[in-house]
Amino acid sequence: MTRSLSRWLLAAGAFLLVFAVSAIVLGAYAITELTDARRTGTTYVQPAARLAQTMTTAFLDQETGVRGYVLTGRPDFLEPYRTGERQAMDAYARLTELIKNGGAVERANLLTVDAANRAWLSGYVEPTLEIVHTRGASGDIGNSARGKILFDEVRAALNRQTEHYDLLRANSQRLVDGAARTLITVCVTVAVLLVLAIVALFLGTRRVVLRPLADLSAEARRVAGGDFHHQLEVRGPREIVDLGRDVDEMRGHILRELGALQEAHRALDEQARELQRSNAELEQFAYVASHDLQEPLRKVAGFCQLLATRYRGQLDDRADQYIDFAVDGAKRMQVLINDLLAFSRVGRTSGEQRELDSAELVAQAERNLAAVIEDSGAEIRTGDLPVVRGEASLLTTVFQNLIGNAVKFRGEQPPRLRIEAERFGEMWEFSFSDNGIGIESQYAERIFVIFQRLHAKEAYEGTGIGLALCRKIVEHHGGTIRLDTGYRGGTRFVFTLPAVPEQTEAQQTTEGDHD
Amino acid sequence: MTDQTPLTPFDVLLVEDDPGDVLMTQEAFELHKIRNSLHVVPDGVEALAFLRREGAHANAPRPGLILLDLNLPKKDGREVLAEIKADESLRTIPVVVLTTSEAEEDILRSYDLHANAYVTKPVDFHRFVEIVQRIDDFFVTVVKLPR
Repeated sequence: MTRSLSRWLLAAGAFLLVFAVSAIVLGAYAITELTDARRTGTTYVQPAARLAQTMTTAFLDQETGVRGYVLTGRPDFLEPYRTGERQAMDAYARLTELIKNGGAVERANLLTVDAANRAWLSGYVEPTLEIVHTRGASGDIGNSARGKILFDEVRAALNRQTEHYDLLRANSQRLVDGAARTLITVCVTVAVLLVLAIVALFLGTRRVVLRPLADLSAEARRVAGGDFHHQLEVRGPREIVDLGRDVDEMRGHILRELGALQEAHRALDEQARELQRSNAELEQFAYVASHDLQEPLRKVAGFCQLLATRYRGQLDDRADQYIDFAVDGAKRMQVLINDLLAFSRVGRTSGEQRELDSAELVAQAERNLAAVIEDSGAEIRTGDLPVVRGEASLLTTVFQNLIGNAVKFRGEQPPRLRIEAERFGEMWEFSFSDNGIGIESQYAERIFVIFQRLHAKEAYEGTGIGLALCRKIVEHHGGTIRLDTGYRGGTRFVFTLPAVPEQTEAQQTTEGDHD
Repeated sequence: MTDQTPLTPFDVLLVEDDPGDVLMTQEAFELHKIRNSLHVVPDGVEALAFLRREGAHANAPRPGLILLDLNLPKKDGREVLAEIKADESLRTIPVVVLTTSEAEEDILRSYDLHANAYVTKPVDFHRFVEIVQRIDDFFVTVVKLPR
């Protein structure tokens, strides 16, 4: 059953419309009928019947008056006759007017009454009154039989008229009753049909709309409950089937997206695991390198020195020199391995990032270099240094390497180093300016490449890792490092570190006060 | 150092698998005329057997100092250290971890396990000899230890 809901609603609407129109027409017809019947009754039949009755009474009064006059001869006995005559005349005139446009039977009856009356008047009343008037009362004037015959005619005509009005009245009443019955029937029928229509509409709506909707809702709930693979199936009118299909399509789409997402998530997880594994392997490698690579070095250096110590005097100077070179090579190799390890560890081992007073880091670096600083007579001046966020050991290494370089690559004069910091937007810019031998601007990039050296090992010792390590650490903290090529009279390194947001900085200071 | 106690012979246990290192330590002892006798075991299992006088070590003396390498076959130095410090009768013997590793985690771990000292073997032999002598001086003549 996939008939469309709108067609279903259209059919129901059309039915209701037809039903309502017919109910109105029928009702109007019944009411008109009733009104007509009542109007006929009250404005025609009833007044006419009343006038007919008045006429009958008036004629009877006339006859009684005439008879009394004939018997007594007294004129006062003639009074009812006169009154009756007036009344009859009046009623006759009014009835004539009333039935002027009425039924033919009524008019014929009235004419008959009139004719009989005239016949009675001219054939009996007028001659009799003349005789009594001239001769006085006689008791019998010999024409009473004829008078009776003539008045019987009148009486018969009157009776016919009365009977006819009785019939009309009965008919009128029947019409009114019939119209009222029709109206009641129409009303009851309409009411019953209305109730039936409401019930049918309710049942139909439930069957055609509500139940399929409830089914769809239940299906949708099942999917929402987590059963994403449940296919939605809905029976009912086309609109609801369409809705079900749309919802199912949506489910399919979401399912596909979910699948893709899960796939991506799995891939990402896999990558994270892979990364973790390779990180762990690298860490293991670094450990092995720090331990296992140094063992043989220690053997080489140690036993060479042992050789020199044990066999002192038995070897010549040249042999001692060989031993020195061997030992020196091994020692350098060890420094190289350690520097390389430190370099490889930056950013890999997750040290704790904290808010640090950079002045304290500089002081720590100076303490670590106390011997060389003292030996060289270096003078280090620092400006106001800010609080930065980072790993203490790494940032100390940066400061230490830069201070160490300033001391190492000194000129004729005792080394002088100025450390300052300046705020530029979100970053602090640290500058290290010395009076040393300087670096030609063409090497500004090369000095930061690992193992790149500008000087012979004999002139300045070192592994060529220091500045590369500085760069790696600074970049790991989100900053940059460069050689200030515009600086004259020495070397000037500039690096940036992200500033700690004001609020946290203030907090840090307050916390510091409590320490 | 006027109240220096007269030196009674002192037993030092060296737990070291590398014969080169064993030889170097022996040389260092010899060069500095350290009178203490040096006992050497090559792995962790042997070390514990020595300390508990088990098997071939039934007559082993109780050492006054243990020099322990971390990377050992069979049972590594960390486990040996943990077992010594968990043993009522052995935990009073000072243990000096003597190793090549400069790894932070090894240092932390060793102190966590109650090592008495952590010393990195230097590349320079002369420095090494000096360190061995200092360890010996410190634990044999300076420090008062329970017997």
